[in-house]
Amino acid sequence: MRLLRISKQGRKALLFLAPTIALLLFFFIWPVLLSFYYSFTDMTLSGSKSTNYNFIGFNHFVRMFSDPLFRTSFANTLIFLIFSAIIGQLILGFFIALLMRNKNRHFRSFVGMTILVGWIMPEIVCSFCWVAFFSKSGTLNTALTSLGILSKPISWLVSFPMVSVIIANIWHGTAFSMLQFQAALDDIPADVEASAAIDGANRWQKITRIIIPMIKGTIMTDAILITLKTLGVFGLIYAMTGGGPGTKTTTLSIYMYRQAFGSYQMGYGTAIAMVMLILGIVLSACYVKFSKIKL
Amino acid sequence: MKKKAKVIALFLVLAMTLSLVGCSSNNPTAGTQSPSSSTNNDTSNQTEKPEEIVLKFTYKQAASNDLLEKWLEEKKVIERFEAENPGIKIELTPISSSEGDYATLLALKLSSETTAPDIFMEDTYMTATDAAAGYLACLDDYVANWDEWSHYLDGTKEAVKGTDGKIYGIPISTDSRGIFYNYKVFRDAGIPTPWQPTNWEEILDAARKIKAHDPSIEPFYMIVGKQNGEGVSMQTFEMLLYGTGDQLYENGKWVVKSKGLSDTFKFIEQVYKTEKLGVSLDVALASDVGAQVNKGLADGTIGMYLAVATTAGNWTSTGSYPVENLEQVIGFAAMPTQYGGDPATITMCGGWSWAISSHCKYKDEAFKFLAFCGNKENATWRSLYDGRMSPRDDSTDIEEYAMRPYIKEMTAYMANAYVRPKHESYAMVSTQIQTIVEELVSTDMTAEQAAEEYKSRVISVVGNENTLTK
Amino acid sequence: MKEKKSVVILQYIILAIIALLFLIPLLWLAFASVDLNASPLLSLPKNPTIENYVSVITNPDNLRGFLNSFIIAIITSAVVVVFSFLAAYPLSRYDLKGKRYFLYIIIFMTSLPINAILVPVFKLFISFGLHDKLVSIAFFMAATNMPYGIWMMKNFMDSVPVSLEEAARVDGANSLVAMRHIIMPLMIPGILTVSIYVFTGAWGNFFVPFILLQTASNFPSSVRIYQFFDNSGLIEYGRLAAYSVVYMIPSVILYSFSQRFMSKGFALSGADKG
Repeated sequence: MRLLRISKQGRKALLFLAPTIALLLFFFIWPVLLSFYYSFTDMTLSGSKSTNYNFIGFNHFVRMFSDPLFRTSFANTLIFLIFSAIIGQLILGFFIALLMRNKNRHFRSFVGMTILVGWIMPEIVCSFCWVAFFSKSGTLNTALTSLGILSKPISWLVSFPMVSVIIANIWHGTAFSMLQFQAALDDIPADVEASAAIDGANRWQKITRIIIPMIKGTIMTDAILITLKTLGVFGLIYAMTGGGPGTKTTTLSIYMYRQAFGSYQMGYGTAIAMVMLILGIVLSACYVKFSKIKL
Repeated sequence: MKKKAKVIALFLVLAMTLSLVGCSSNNPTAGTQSPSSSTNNDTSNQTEKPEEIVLKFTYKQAASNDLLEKWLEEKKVIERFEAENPGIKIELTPISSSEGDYATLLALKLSSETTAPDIFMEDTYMTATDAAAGYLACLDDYVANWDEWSHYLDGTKEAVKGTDGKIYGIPISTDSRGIFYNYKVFRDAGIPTPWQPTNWEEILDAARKIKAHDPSIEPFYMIVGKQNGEGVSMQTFEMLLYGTGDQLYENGKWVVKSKGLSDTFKFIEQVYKTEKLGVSLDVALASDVGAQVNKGLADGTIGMYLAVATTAGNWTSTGSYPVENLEQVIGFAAMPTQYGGDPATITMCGGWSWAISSHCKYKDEAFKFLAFCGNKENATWRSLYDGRMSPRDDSTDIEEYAMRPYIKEMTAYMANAYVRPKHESYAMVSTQIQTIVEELVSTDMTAEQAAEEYKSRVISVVGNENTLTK
Repeated sequence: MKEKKSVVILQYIILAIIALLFLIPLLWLAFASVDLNASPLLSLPKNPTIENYVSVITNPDNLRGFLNSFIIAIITSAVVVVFSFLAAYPLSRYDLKGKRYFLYIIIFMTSLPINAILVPVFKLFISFGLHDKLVSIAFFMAATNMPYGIWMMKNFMDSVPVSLEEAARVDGANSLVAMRHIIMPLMIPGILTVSIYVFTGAWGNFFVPFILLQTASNFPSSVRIYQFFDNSGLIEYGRLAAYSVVYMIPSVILYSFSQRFMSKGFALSGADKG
């Protein structure tokens, strides 16, 4: 990849990166650093501590260890992440992309479009659809009772809130993974699979021994991107359940919001956000290590 | 060719910088402020008054059918004010959002001179907090010279005080609370009407009878969903707690453990969990629970509703669910104290206020508007429009006000009224209450655990040294 | 390899079921939007009407909201596409020492919830006089979308063979010319993917404009969605559903338009090729 001499490259690269760096510094990195600083203070959104806040070191981070709500939201975040991102979006997306290969073009674009609708739908609209779907007199109950599966309607958002938001998030996000896998699968040369068939590999072996190793990079990139994205999911859950009932669907991003904007504890709220940042880094590092792929 | 790349990249950076500068350059002309130096915030810069003063007026706007806007429009409030005060213009800058988001966004806007509205509507539970932050203008000097101030009820004056005891707002309204109940449901269940429970047990008894008579009727609704924000703390939690003889804040400390707190959690648990006398959770926790319950009570599918008197506005001819001969269909009982006795009933009183931002450049003119809105006629009509009680003692002179539904009850219940703690941490304690109550009714948390949680969470927001155990 | 016919049919059936499952939640939206008395209950409207749509579309405030959303979303996606395209070039083509760390750092920043940085951003906007302006919101949203933009763009660019560019270079073209005439045409699918991704994100964002905008006439449609909630918490489901459908249209159009250029769809597989 050596197109130019390195010395010159560095300077040229900077020129290309300059607009991005300027934009990121001003609108992103600077506010992030400020948030980082706030997380070590007792700043509040209103009240006397809103202007006269103090530096309190690691107090917030120590407090988290004994904060049962923090522990609950941490656990909820992991559950939400594993089921909606990894099991849901990644595996379902891969499965759909795999099935879609070599299918009729019109059929492919029809199926693709139905899955994409959820993706391009604004979060808030998405949550209205799902609230209506899961509500006591909603679509799901109407269907299940008329089929005789349920004798009386269940209020899903109250009885199974986590399952409900996970399903909604899978619906909202699967298209992203599906599109990536479709592209990656298209790139697998036909002869590789053909030779595997000659060797007598069955369907399952073909997937695990040939296809997955070949698109390992895509799997990992996808895993990182959807993990980071799912960590930050806020609007969907907030509009569907508000993090409730109680704390049943309070993830870290909901808890962060409740602390910073609901209880005005800006300092503690930003400290929670910093934990989310660390969690994102740790998870991504795990994926990289696990898949032994260099980016 | 290297040059060209450089030029283009430079151009891009420049273009971006320019677009940013360009945005900021037209700013000073956009605002209402005169270009006076920011070091001089007080009266001295009023000498540079422009010909026309524009005051920004922010309020919480209900998207459709907003009651404040209806009052402003139909009573031509702003037109009349501007005609009486040439040179002052009022510009409306509403915030359309849920109640909780309104308080948050308002606090954020008030923190900066550029975004702070001059005049705004504020729920008095935020007054002490925002005053402590330095966001509110102190009105002590203004009310001292305002002859109408003596007509304001003492309880409402209490509500607009900061932690320092100074006045930070002019009350718009006040409100008492009690139990609305459907006459037909009660008669059918064999409960004598008009009904007035004398202790908590009698409320539960009525609910049990309703449930026993017709299981399809949901006996009792108390606000428990945290999306209702302050309603959970004030309408449910504090209405119970202050009837036990205990309070949230006593002797300068936050009470984190008391018999009253435990009994309050126990009552909520009993209604929603152990005896299942509350409305089902998919109603109680729905985002449109208010609408569902208002309709349910009018239709007789819900028996009782512990609510603010304002709720009655939904059933008047202009409301969402008009009920004919309202006072014969829905009754309004006082909330009894835990065991009755003296006092026999209790209500929390709160309400909203008009306030002036500490950043406001023209406080004298802003106060003129407040005084105008707060005069006898305007204040009375304002409370008629939003269904709350007038903060003034002379509103009953106005016929429409004296004729409104439940006015006798509303006023009578004010005899045993409490206001929420005037402390800047109240808003934070209140959000703890809201979450715990929702957790109590919707998870397997018990009343004892809820009381424990309350203790540890309040300690974590106000600090151990500011709490006491009874 | 030829699959057995029964297996292929089974695959078609599974896909059809999945598609159906994905469509079901939309049923309510479709029904409610043509029903004047809509509720969360799924029911066939008795008297289907377009009145909800008419009232949503003819409201000048709504049109203003859609226009504002459009301005924000267009500027945001334009900034992200141009900047990330430029940034992706050195990251993909040059042998830079710190580039892996650069990529890691920016991508990790996306795990920070935007809500967490809104208060600093609010203060920043005020001190620079940027608040209450659609352009500044767009630049902020662009910044938060840059990490994804750069990642996707770099991976797309990685899959454009370097050899094509080298050939052009022999003919005397510099990097910028090569980018415009060689790389860009080949990256149309990638550029469109990034645009759609960023556009739909910016189009639907509620909280950022809610906090950072002041004047009602600047509000995008996401903020205006509160208009369907009445004083007493009553929700006008029919108009809300119609509004939601209208709200989705730009994203759907953008997507179907881009399909023409995306024969292979969405390639983020660059990482496979090192």
